[in-house]
Amino acid sequence: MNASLLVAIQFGTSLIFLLSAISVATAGDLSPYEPKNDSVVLERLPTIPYSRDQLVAVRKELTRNPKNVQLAATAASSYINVAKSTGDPRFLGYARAAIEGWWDDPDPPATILEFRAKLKERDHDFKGAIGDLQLFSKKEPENAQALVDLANIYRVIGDYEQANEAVEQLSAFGTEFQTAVCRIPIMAVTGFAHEAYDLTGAQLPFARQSIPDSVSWLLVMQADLARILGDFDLADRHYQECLKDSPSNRYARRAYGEFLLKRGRAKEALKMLGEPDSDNGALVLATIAASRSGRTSLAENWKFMVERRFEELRLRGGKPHGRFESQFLLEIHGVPEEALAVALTTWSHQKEATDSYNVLAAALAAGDADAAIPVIDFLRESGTEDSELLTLVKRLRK
Amino acid sequence: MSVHSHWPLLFLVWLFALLPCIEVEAHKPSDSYLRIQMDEEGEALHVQWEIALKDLELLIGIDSDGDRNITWGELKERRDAIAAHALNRLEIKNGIQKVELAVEDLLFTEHSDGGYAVLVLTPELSGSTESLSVRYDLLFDIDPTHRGLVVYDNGDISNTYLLSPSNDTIELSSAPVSLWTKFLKFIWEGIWHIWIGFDHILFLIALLLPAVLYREKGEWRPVPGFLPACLTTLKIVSVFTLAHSITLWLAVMDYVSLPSRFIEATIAASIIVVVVNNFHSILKLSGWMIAFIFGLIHGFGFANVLVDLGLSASGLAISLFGFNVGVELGQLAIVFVLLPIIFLARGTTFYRRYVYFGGSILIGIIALIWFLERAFNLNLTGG
Repeated sequence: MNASLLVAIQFGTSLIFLLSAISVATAGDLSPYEPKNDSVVLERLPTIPYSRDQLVAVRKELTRNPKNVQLAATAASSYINVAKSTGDPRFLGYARAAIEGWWDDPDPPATILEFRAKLKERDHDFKGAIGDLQLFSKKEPENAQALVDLANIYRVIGDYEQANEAVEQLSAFGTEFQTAVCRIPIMAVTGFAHEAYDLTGAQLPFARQSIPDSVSWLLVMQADLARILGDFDLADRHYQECLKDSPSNRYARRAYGEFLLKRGRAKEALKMLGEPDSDNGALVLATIAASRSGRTSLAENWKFMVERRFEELRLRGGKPHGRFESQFLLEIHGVPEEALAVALTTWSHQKEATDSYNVLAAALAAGDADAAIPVIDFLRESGTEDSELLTLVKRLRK
Repeated sequence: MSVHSHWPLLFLVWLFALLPCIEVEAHKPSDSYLRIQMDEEGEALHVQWEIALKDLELLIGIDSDGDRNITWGELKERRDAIAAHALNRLEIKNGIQKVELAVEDLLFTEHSDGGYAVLVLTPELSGSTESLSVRYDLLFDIDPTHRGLVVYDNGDISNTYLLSPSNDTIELSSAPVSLWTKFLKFIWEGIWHIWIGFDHILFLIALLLPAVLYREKGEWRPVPGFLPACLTTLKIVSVFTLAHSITLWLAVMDYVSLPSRFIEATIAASIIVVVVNNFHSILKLSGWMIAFIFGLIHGFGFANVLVDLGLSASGLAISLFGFNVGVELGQLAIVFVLLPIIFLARGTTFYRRYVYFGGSILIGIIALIWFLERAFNLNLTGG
């Protein structure tokens, strides 16, 4: 009886293995077809604040006056905003087209520089973006935008000294709120997390009254600061508070989803991340959450989607963002050595907490503590208090 | 410019700048896919041009009722406008001669970033085929980050090219491919075909199930050793390959040609016969003989696949040989998984009752459905 049962199980699993191998193999068949009937919806367009006619009118106007600075700047700014709200990068391409006439210009007008820098930053050309912003700031020393952007990019690449300098410059003429909002993310990673937490809380009453749109950002920041300080219950409360205010806020949901995933609350994370959209970062997180909560077929589908997106990005001569690729390699493919290599490459030009985390986690999984030394040194020098990063560092040192 | 007067507006932009987790660049920007295939005789091209619906919406407007949903009906309505706009921005040349392009069919497909309209073009090439070139400027003026991805396949090789504003013209290379590469390609095609060809797999399984048993005084008994089971299996698989190699060759060379519906139905019937034979030895033949006879039929089925893959006269023998080797390897891989399990299980009641009989019946039912569908052109599974 027992032998029979064993054989039954063995036979069953082999059959499932064989059939699933075949179904995975055939899932790649994506040949063109004719949809069944006229009412089949092929694409849902994102809602944007402009009609197609308006977009076409702007384009025609641009073709007629390709050198009109004000027109180009307005168009670029609108397109960049649409790209942000929809997550569709083709609008960044349209923004680029609007200022194409100045793309290689060593000394374009200040307003053009502002958007050129933004596009370069989005393209991960941090050096180019910094150059443009410095020139922008030189032309308009009292322009807050230039300094905010500059501080932000310096923070992303881990140059906290320069980032603080930009904040200092801003504080000379900016309002208290402007300066605080610019300073908080830098304080968070340079040993002033407690102060940053208090500063964030102090801005909330003013923000609620005067700039309601900034409240959810402040609450997410506060939650992240609580996480950095190791008070996960408090962080959780701030996230909840934020989602009570704006339940469908994409960024808050994603940040909370990532937080939950790291806390081992995969099922809640999956619910929080929801059906992932075109954002690869959210899709990778959702795939990990699905896989950890035992939703195998869902995880398989999303895994296939991630792979296809990465493949198509490579095909066009680009490459997937190393941050997400390394998470995907580590968590879904379980190949820590490859995840580590990708994480290190990413970290060499981008040093946000997640990038450091990816290196440490992959190094730990790969049993290669030496590879993480530059990251550990960097974190020590910058004075990080990030509880999660420090836990990983401790485990690596063992 | 006064900062403070624009303050609320500027602040919105700021928040985005400050938020640490916006990764717009993590998405795929706009691409179109241009698949160009040269037919066997080198007289016509089969072109499939896939353009994102989101791009077409901006270029010419598809969403006519403005509900932010693009339907198949809306897309079809705009077919002429799409064709006019797109064909104006694509030029294929055969040597110095421009190839006439016209949209013959409109289809739909999906990529990782959404829906794509597929324009099917099948231009004829007048005169001898010289080097083909493509000039392309779809969207470059309104989106310099747009890329055209070209996949060119002339039957021997497949190459990928990237079109960008700074590189909007490309020559399609038709360099001859080494026989070795071709051989490997067809081995892989053979393996692949076996793995996705359910009917061949089921035929094989139905033949293999009795390989670990033998009949004595009307009763099934387990074969004593692993080696005899292995030899029986190897004989079945190899004879099957030998048989279908023969008909595959006959069909590809056009010496024998049978209607494909007849072949497909007969393949399904062959499975039914093997299953029935597992219960009552109606054929009085051993496994390898059955494999040989029906292998001849399966060979015609493979031939249809091989012709679809596009065979060129050069290196035909290599392609055929490679495909057969691939089929054999694909079968052996299945045997490697299956044989040890059924060998270990052969002595149990479970094997005889559920795997051998139950499995045979299940395979028989599937084959019967296939047979009815194929022979009488029915649709029983709703697929």
